[in-house]
Amino acid sequence: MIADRAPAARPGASVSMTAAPVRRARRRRIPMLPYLLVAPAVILMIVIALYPTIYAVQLSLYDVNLARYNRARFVGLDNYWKLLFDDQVFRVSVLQTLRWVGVVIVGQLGLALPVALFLNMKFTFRGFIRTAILIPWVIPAAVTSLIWVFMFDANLGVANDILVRLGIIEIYWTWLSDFKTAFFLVVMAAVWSGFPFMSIVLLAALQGIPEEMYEAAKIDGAGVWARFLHITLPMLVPTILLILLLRTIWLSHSVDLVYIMTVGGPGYSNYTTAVYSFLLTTSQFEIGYASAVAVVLAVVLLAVSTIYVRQMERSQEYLR
Amino acid sequence: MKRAMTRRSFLVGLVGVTGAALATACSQPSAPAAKPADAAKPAEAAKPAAQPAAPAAQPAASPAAAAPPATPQPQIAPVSNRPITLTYWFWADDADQAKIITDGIDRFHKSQDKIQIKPDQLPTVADTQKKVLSSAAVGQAPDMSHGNSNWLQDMHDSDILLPIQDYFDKWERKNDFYPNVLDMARVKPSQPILFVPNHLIVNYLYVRLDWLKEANLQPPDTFEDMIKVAKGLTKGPDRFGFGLRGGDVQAISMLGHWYVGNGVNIINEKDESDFDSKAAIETTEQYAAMYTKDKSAQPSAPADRFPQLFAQFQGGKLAMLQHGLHSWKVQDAALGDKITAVSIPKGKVRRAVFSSSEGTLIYKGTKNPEAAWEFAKFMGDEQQAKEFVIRRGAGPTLKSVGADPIFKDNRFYKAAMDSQADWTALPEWHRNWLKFRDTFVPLFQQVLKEEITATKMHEDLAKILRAK
Repeated sequence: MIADRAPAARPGASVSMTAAPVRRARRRRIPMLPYLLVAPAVILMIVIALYPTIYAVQLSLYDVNLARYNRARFVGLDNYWKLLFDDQVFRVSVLQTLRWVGVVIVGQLGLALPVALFLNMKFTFRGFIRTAILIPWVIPAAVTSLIWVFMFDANLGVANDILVRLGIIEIYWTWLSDFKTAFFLVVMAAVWSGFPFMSIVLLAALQGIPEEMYEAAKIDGAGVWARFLHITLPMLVPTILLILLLRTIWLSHSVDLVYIMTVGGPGYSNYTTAVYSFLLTTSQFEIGYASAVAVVLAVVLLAVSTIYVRQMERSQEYLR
Repeated sequence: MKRAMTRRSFLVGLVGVTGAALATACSQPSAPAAKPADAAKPAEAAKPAAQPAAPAAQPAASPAAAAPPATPQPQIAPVSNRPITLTYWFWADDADQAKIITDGIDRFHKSQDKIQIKPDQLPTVADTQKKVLSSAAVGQAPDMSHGNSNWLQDMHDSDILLPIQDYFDKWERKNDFYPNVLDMARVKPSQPILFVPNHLIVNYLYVRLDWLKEANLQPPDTFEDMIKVAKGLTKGPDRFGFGLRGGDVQAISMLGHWYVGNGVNIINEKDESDFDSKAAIETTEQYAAMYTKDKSAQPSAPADRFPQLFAQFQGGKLAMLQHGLHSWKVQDAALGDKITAVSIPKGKVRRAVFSSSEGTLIYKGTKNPEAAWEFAKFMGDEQQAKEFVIRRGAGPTLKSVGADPIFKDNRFYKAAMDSQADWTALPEWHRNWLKFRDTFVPLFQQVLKEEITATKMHEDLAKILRAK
């Protein structure tokens, strides 16, 4: 095989007589095996990721309801037009998705960072605590939702009982029937459920910071706060940016917590775009219109992610 | 020399394979609706020989417009002698309900040896509906399923139900059905029978008898009475006269009694609606006032669904609760003689008591329509219908079952039966019903929280109902 390999034609070299044989030689020397090994994975990805995506885009161009499937009709971009210019619920859901993602991410990061710093310290039962901290994250979202719903039940919930006994509230509060508290209750559940993942990822990043940097800083007289601000935080930035991106994507299309705890209500106060799409599909069977909602959400997420990743790369170059 | 390939040829090959895979996937047969010929000739369809694909079959990935063809009535033919296996999907809210159905299947197997039922239990009514619809869309519907009358119109429009009118007309049991139960099985007067109902979910009002006596009040007979009784039985800080349900789509069923009772035409077959009329708006205002002004409904009403309402009612926080006969056992076990049930109160015009019937649906894709009919008939016949009525707590579909002493001796059954002449259904057949029903919930919650007016809610909802 090695003998078959011909040197590649360099720019500026004469190609009149040698270009074709060289190209043939280049083609011949690529072995089939690597492609064959990769092909199953690629085909699988195409089947499970590309085909549904293409199908969703196609469905979004139809006025189609699962309950009246045989009456589907092609409507072109009508669903998108209606969505963008004539659907107030969609507009509300977009704003509420931004609010939901923003508040939950800030909450999760705000809790995860101190916990990660704590877990990075040396103390007794550290291994046990590191494992135990994962419990909220491994509990299925449906179970988490129900736990929080029962805890904050307006009539029988333990939270009301404790708060009344402590004198913080006078009468039982209707948490899930109130526009503001319903949102913050779901946020609290999401923060509780999601912060362990962030903590563990941050912990892994913290353990990658060389101890020598801290020692050098100490010798230079840097205090705890200065060491955190000038060593720990900058070293964590790439990891933080990555988990922020991941959480943004996951939260944007998460349905479980919001749906199970509030069904998007009261009113439209907890309608996120994903919940809206989910309700359209599972309750109204409007698979065409729901696909349009999902496609718009996917496009927005893709665009945001692309910009974000580019910015992230620039930040990392800057840090280097 | 080893075989090698270029990157280009690999990519070309990959695109080809992908294209072929997509083309194969996209060319799955569409809903059985596209094969009306199969159902039109059930006797022939019963033959195992493969039928050539109907030319009308649509690719699954290319849903195309197609008006449902006329629904020819099947010719009845005797069941074949060889053993036949039929698939049957059903749901069960609890183990008891599942047992009623599986016991029925067992009895059916013992009653004959030619038809074997292969049941598949699904978690909820919504899951079953979704699974049937999505399976039917790709031509994979079961032979039969347990189903609800509110599924019928969409399925009829989609042409996935086997027409059973001819079978029904030849059934000796046909005259035993209550006429309004058959109306529900037709959905619209102009339509044939679409399924075989075997029991009814009947709504009524649970009332705390002990608190009524204590307050020297009578159970309400009209909505005006109900408002007064709710006020009279409210005792702060945590006893409320009425358990108002605002947290799920059943909110419209609860308030719907009031609309129809007060003469509001939500929507009719001619697409006429007075849902934005003064009467409709005033009805909502009157109902919502129990929460906003009288404070006779529980504070958590906007988010409460049936588990919360049950917990409050059984925990002694609510005096009245609108629910159905199917929950009498749990309420009776929790509260015993402290409670009774009465018919849904009358409005200004009439008493409207919403009932939905459940029964057996046969799908057009079945290869054995006669065998499927035999099973559907068995599940709708007196013995099995009685099992549903007695063991689940349900209204009767048959007069012979309705004559059972339980409908006189048991106060809950009696309350359900007292309203028999008033059993009716919401216009769930309407093309925009699902959107209307889903939009009703957040808008009604906003009315309860006084974020919007009842007028605004009715205007928005009337637009949805009237949308073409």
